[in-house]
Amino acid sequence: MNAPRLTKNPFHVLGVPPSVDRMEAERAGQKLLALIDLGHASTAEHASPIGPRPLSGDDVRLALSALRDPTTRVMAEAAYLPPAPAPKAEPPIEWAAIAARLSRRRPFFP
Amino acid sequence: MPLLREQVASRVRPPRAGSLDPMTAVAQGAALFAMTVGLQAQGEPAAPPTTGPRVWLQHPAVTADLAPFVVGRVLDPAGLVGVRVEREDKSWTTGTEALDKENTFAMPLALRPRTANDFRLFAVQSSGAEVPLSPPTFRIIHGLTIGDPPLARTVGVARADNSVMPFVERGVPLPMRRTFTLHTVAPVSPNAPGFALLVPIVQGEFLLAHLCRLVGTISLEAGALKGPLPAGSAVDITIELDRGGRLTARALIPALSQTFDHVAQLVVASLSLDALGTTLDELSARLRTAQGQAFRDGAHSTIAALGAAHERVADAATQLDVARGGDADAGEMARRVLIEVDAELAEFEAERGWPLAVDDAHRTLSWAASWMGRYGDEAERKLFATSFARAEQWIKAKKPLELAREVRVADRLGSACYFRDSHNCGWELEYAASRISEASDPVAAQAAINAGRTALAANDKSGFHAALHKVRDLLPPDVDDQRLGHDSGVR
Repeated sequence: MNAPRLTKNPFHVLGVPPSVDRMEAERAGQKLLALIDLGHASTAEHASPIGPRPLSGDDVRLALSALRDPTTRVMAEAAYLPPAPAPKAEPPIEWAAIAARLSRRRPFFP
Repeated sequence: MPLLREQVASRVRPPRAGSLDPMTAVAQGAALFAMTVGLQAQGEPAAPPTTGPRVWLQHPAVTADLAPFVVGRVLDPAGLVGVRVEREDKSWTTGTEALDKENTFAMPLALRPRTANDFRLFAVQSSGAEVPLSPPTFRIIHGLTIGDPPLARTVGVARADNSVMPFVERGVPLPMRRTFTLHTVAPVSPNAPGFALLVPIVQGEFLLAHLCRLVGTISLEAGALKGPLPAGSAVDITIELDRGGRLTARALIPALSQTFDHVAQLVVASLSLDALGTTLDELSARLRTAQGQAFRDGAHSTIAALGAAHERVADAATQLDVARGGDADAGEMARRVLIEVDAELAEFEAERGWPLAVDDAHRTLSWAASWMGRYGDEAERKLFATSFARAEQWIKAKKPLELAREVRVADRLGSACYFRDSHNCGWELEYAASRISEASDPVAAQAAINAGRTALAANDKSGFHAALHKVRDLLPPDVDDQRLGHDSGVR
């Protein structure tokens, strides 16, 4: 399996599970296309097994086209891997507290 | 005729409905299609005046989904907290959907099946009061979606350097909507009424704008602008094609939160007789131009073919008059003739432009080859050889779009080698310096040129290229290129 097939699986692109029916996939795709046309920030990336990947309108159209064809849909279902969980935000380093504990001067960087 | 049916069934693999009456099958198909496009015998009611806060809406025009989404961005969000949508028959409404931090909203709708659904849009103010948005209404038709028809020819935007940015390529399923961001090439002030920046929309398979046909223009009128627009401002251009060939183009200027619209008929999709009449006039004018060119070229076979086409268009005009008298069949016949003549003309125009496109490709390839020979490394030469061979194949196959893409690859490789020669770098900088009085910001242009000279003296290639790009962005396009590019005001 090559990398684009892994990362550009139609279900990942549309953000829907493989269990969705055709109409739900169409609805999700049309909504995504509309948001992309508006330049909404939430549509800049989509989840994939190897982390977030850039998303474009062409990706969505290709995904919709793939899911309309029963053969390519089966292939997409077979190739589906759950997307990687969103990375947890690292807690900010409390430099001030560390500096106070070490009794040193406050560092220049935050 | 059972034998005929059997033969059709054996040759046409898709399943057939044998129970249909052959005499009414076409009429049934037409009725189904009319239902999907919401064909109505009565005229559209006059649109109410639009005075409320403006909203940029995205929704399907026709859908088989009973719960499609409407997505929008409020362009004048001051004092607004949300949006509400109500169906025209008042039997269904959404709750108040709060605007997110980007002033957008997305709501599922409820359509009545197999009919046109009109919706009203209201903005909810912080006080709880509601005001109509602009546009105040929109329509979604619920109906069958018959297989997506492909686009016959590529549609794109002509740029000021006479290149074309393809938006919707030939063969893609319709309906299709694409948005790209381009930048203005000149400043526009609302205090200079009469001036306008043009965004020409062209149709054709060439990446040279003058070889493509102009099908519409969005005009960014200076007098209509809400504020001054400096050169280099971003313009989000959206081109939308419905399945019948109706083209809607919209330019959104994010800096001013202002939109400009244009609607054009690409072929003759509309069933309106007025639209057919307009298309017929345009087609006649194109035919006259084509005939003149064919006479100048001495192309006898083309002259004969265009003469026949001219007669058919004249017949179509007669049919159109009959259709205005109430004969719908005559209107359909006229429409079919216009579609066929449009296709013939497109073929003639493409044939005529092809030698020019090949000449341009050969010029670019030879230019790139000369610099590749001097400065290209082994990997670049291999890439260039591959690109050159492919270009030759596309020339033989008469594929203008594919040829232009390959030529662009060769051009980039050639440019990389061209700028390895320090004399060329200096020459490019001095050429830019000679045009500094034309720059939209001469002070910034002079500073960039000085920075470029310093970088060149220090052999700082990246610094030099950054400076050169900055100067180029500040300079207007070449006048000849802009004229060939249908006077485009964007790049």
